[in-house]
Amino acid sequence: MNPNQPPNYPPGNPNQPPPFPPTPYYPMYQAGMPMPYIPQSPQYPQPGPPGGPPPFMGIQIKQEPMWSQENRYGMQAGPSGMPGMPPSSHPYGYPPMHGMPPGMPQGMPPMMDPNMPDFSSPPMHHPTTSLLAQHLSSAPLPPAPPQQQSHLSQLLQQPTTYSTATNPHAAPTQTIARRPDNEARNAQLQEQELAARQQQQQEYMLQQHQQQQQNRAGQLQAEQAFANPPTVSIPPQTGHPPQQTSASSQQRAQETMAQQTEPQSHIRESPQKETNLEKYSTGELCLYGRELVNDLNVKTSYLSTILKKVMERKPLNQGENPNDLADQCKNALQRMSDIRQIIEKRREPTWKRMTGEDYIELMLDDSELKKPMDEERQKRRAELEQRFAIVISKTPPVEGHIWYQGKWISEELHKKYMQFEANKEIVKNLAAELKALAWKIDVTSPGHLKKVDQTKISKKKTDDQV
Amino acid sequence: MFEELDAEDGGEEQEMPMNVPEFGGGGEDIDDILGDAPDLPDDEYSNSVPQGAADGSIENDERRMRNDGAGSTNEDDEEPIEPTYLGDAIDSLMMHWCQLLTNVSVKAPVPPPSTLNHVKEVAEVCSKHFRDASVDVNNEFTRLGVQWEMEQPYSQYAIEEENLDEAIERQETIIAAAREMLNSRIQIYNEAHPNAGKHFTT
Repeated sequence: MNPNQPPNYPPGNPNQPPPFPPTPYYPMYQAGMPMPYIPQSPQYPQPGPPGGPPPFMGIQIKQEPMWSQENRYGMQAGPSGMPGMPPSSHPYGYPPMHGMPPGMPQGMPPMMDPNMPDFSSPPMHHPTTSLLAQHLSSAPLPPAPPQQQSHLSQLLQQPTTYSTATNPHAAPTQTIARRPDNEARNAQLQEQELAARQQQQQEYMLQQHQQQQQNRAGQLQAEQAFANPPTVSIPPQTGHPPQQTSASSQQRAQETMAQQTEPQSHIRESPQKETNLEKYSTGELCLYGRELVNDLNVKTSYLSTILKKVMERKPLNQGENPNDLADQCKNALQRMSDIRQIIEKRREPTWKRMTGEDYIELMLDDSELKKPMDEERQKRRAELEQRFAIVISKTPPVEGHIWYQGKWISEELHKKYMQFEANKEIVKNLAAELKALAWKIDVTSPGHLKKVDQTKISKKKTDDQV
Repeated sequence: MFEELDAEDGGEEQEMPMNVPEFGGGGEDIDDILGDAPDLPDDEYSNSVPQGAADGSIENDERRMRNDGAGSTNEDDEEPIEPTYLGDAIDSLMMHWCQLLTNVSVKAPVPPPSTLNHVKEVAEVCSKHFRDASVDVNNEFTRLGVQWEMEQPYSQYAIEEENLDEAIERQETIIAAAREMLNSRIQIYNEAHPNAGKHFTT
């Protein structure tokens, strides 16, 4: 009885509320109302003393939902071309429903419980359930991860010959550094320059990277399972806003890196490529620089693997050329140098480098500000307020700016953030509801139930006649 | 190129009873690649090199890097770049990347290492230095990016608006696709079963 009850309860409970609001179902509600109350009291003492009734009632529970659901599912499955129920099965399905109440009062509750939701449920539910089931069965799409991740994962799968296994892990961990929280940690650790903390930080970033990948994969599955949008190639951007910045820059960086991976001779690069870097902002150039460092790590690890093969005189796979790989590493270093020149050329003469103490001062909360501070510190805070007004200023630097996620932003940008959050909520709820609906379809599918021996139904009918 | 590698392997086999498993041939390969670069006068950029160039290949590499980066025909008029934290970090990364492959190679005047453990220890130290240099460059880029975001708010606002527009457009595409899919399937079902839900079975 235990495995039989769970599939019956979930479809019954959520479907009972619908019969109340619609008016045309009122007669059905009246007809069904007194039935479940009367036999409930005799049902409890029956299974107590004897051992036979429990399995018999279990069999009854098996039979009723199977027949009714098969009939209804057969009707719905017509347009999809599935084989419907044979017409000879109808007399077997309907007569037991009519014959059960007068003959055996014990069988009344299990008969009515699955029947009530089927008849009284609104018509909107039926097309949604069957159509979604067809959609899920006809179009199963696996999640498509972003291109860069697949590229990195392929390279990382290569075995490494380093005595320490930290280098292949360093590449994905530093990718997490795009987030502001990790940037804060990087800035602080930069001042201390302790190797132990760097290792701990790398491990922490590695874990975050894995969690982030899992979250993205989950979101991709949820979105593609129900929506199947035509723009699958766009990477998911439902995360935090700073992540979108990195996502957009990732695409541009990938395009630039795609050009970079082409076989290049030793000819000096043309000025056209110089302008390609010029059109990016400083923030995007810094992000691109970090990606180049990670790419250099991965390719250096791969290069050492190939060189080991060369030493051992093993045959190289197609495309494994140590010379081309070394050229790519040199191109990455060259491009880093170009980025450095561009960044330093754009600086103003009065530019000053932000130190770790400055960053800590910027990130202090109000409890720290209430403490007494000396004159030198107040002077330093005033200078920082002038340099980083959008982060440390108490009043909005520009009239109409709104404080959002730790900084002052314009009203227009704030409206877009609010719209993004609202859309995100809609997409999330839609995915959750469609998943719940798919689960209900799977749970109540008659294909999962065991086939019932029709002889017992015939025997019951014969017993009733006798 | 592969023939040269084979020849070098043969040479090393004669010198040592055991093969160097990790970076023996890579150094020679890199040196050959660097050797193809055009030779430059030694006195031209001696002032611009921040670190003392102990190895000729590193010096050649850096000179070639600067020449390619400048992209100008007047190479003699180029002024040296001011030393900065980012520049020092990138130069250190370049140097350690070269050392990663050259420090474990064997050349004629230098006697080969006595034991294999020595080669392994040198390789381990070089890889750790390279990793630390990579982390330093990453930290410096991160610091500059964060500082730029806080100092140039309006440029950052423009970037965030652009990214938000793309994200919102994609969200609306997903919602519209889901709605269209549900409506089309409802329509198909209604056409196939016009009387569904309008009659009572019992």
